[in-house]
Amino acid sequence: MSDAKNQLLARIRAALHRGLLSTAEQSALTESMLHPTRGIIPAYLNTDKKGLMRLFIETARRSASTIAELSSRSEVPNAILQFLKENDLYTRTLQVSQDLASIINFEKFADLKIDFENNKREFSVSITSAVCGISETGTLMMVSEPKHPTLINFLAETHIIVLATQAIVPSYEDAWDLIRAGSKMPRTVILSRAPLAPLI
Amino acid sequence: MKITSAQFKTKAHEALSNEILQRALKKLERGFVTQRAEAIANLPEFNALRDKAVNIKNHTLQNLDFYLEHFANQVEASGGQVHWAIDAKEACQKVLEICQKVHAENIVKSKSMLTEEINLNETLEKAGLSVTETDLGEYIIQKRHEQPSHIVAPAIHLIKKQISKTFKQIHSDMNPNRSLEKDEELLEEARQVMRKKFFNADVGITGANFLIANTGTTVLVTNEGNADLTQTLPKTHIVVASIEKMLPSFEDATQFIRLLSRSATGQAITSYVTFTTGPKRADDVDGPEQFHVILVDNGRSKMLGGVFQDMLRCIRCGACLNHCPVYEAVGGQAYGSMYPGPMGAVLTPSLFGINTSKDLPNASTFCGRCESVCPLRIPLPKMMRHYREQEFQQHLSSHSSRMGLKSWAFLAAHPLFYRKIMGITIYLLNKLSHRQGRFHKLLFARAWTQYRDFPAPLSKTFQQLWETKKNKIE
Repeated sequence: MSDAKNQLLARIRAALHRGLLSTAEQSALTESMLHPTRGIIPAYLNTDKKGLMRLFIETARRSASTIAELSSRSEVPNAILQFLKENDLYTRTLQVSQDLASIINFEKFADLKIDFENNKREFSVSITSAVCGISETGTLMMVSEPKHPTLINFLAETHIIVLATQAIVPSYEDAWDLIRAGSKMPRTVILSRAPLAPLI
Repeated sequence: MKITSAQFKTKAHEALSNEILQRALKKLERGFVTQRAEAIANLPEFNALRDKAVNIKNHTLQNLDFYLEHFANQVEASGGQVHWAIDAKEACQKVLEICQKVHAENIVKSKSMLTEEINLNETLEKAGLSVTETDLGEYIIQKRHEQPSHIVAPAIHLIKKQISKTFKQIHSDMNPNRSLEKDEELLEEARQVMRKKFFNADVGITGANFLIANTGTTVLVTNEGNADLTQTLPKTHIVVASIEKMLPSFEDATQFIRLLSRSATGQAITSYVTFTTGPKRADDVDGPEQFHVILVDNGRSKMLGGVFQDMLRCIRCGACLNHCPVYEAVGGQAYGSMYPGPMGAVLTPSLFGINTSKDLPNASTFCGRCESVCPLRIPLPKMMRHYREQEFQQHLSSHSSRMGLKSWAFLAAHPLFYRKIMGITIYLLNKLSHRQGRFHKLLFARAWTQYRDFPAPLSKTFQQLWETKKNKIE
C-alpha cells in the first residue's frame, strides 16, 4: 500500500474517531453495494406501455430532439433518407455503427457515402442503435462495445438513433437492470439527451 | 487559480460599479432560477429525493475509507490505476509524472473545479506542457486569463460582444471580417478550433461528478460532450477527483442525477451523463489505453467528523450561488476563489484557511435562501456563522467591527439600556429623514448608501408600539 494511501485512510479514520471497520461491518457494506435497493422513482412513470412510449416521445421532443415514429424496421432506410434530404445532409459521409448494419438493410443507400468501419474521426452524420430509451427524461442509453464505439456518439454534428419501441423502459433503474443482465460492465455507459447545450 | 479572497471588499466595490458585469449577472435570475423552479414543480418527489440523497451521502462519508478502498480495487480490476494524493502539490505531481511518462506535449482538459483548486494548469504549463480547456466557458476565460465566476457557467460574467472580441484576438489565423454575432457562430468557431486540439492531444484530464465504489466507475455530467471527447480521444485519460465524490452504487448515483441538473440548470437531465469503467479493452475500437484516477484529499479529511462535515455533501450544482443576493450583486470573481457564493464562503476557508478568506463568511445577509435551495440541505448559514465566530476568536476581524460587535453584545445583555438607545436613535433618524422613509446619504453608512438608499425608521421602536397597542390587542 502506498504511503499516501495509508496516510489518507488513516486521516479519515482518525477524523471519524474509529479504526478499520470490522469484517462483519465490511461484509454488510459489500452486500448492500452488490445488491442495491432502488431509491425514489418519480410516480409519473407508473403507467402502461403506451403511456411510457408517449412520455418518452414528449420528453425527448422537449429537449429539441426530432422523432419519427415508424411501424416496422423496413421503413427505417426511407425515413433516414428523407431526413437527410430535408436537412441538406444527403451529400455528407455517414458513419453507421456495425451493430445496426447487421439489422437494417442499407442497400437503398447506394448513392450515399457510408462508412461501417467505425474508426474514422471526421464525419457529419452518425447512425447508431441504443440499448434503450428511458421515458423518465426522454434519454437514450448507449454503451461502448466493438460494434458500437464511443466516439460515434460524439463526433458527428447529427446523430440518428434507431430504437425499437420494445426497448423503451420507464426509469434509469430499469436501464441499470439491462446493463447488469449483460456479462460485464461496459467500459462506457452514456445517457444522452442531446442536442448539446453549452453553458458559457 | 490563486486565492485572492483577501481583496473581497475592494473587488466587490469594483463589481458593483461595473455596468457590463451587472448586465451579465441579470442572466442568472432569468435563466437558472426560473428554470430550476419549473423543473422542481414538475417533480413532486424532489424533497423526498433530497432527504434520500442526504442519507446516502452521510452514510458514505461515515464509511468513506471502506468505499475508497473498494473503489480503488475495482478500478485496478478493470485495468486502471489509482493514485492517492494528500494535498494539491502531491496531486499535481502525480498528474505531471503520468504526463511525462507518456511523453505528453498536448493536454486537453474538461471543466473541473478541483483542478482549479489545486492549480493544476500552472504546474503543467511550468513543465512545458500545452493545456487547453475544452469546456466553452472555461476556454474563454483561459484565453482571457481570467478566473471562473460560476461553478457551472464559468464565463457567465461576460456578454457576447466581449466573447466575440476575444475570439477575434486569439483566433488570428481566421478571416478577421467573419461574423461572430450569433451564438451558433461562436459555437461553430470554438468547435473547429477545439477539434484540432482533441485530435492532437496526448492526455485528456477530466474531473468526476461522482465516483461509484461498487464498480470503480467515474461519472461525468455535462452539456457539451467535450468531456467525452477529452476522455476518449487521447491515449491517456486522467481523472482528478476529490474523495467526497464517492457513492456506493449506480442506484445511489441515480438519486443524485435526478437532483443535480434540476438544481443546477433546471434541466431534468443534462445532454450527456457518462459512466466510465477502466481503459480501452482488447476488442474496443476506441478509448484511452491508460486510465488513471487521482484521489485527492486536500483538506477534506479535516472536515470529516466536525461542524463542517455537512459541506462534504456538496455536489457543486451552484443553486446557492444562483439564489444568493450577494452573489447576484457582485458576481463570482469578487470572491477571489474558484468556489464563490455561499458554498464558497464555507469551502474556501475550510480548504485554504479562514485567515485567507475572512470576509467571505461575512458576505451574506443570512436570508437563508442558499440553505433552502440546496439539494443536499447543507446548513450554509450555520457554517458561515461558525467561521464568523472563528474570525472573532482569532482576532482576524478589523478593530471597528470588533468594537461594533462588543457594543452590540453589551446592548443585547442590557435590554433596558438597549431600548433607551434604540428609542433615541430611531427618533433621531426619523427626524433627520424628514419623514421621507429613506436616506440617500448617511454618515458612517456610505458603503450602503453608495449603491442604494438606507431605509429610515418611520416612528417608534417595536417595544414602544407594543406598549401603546398591547391593551387594544388584549
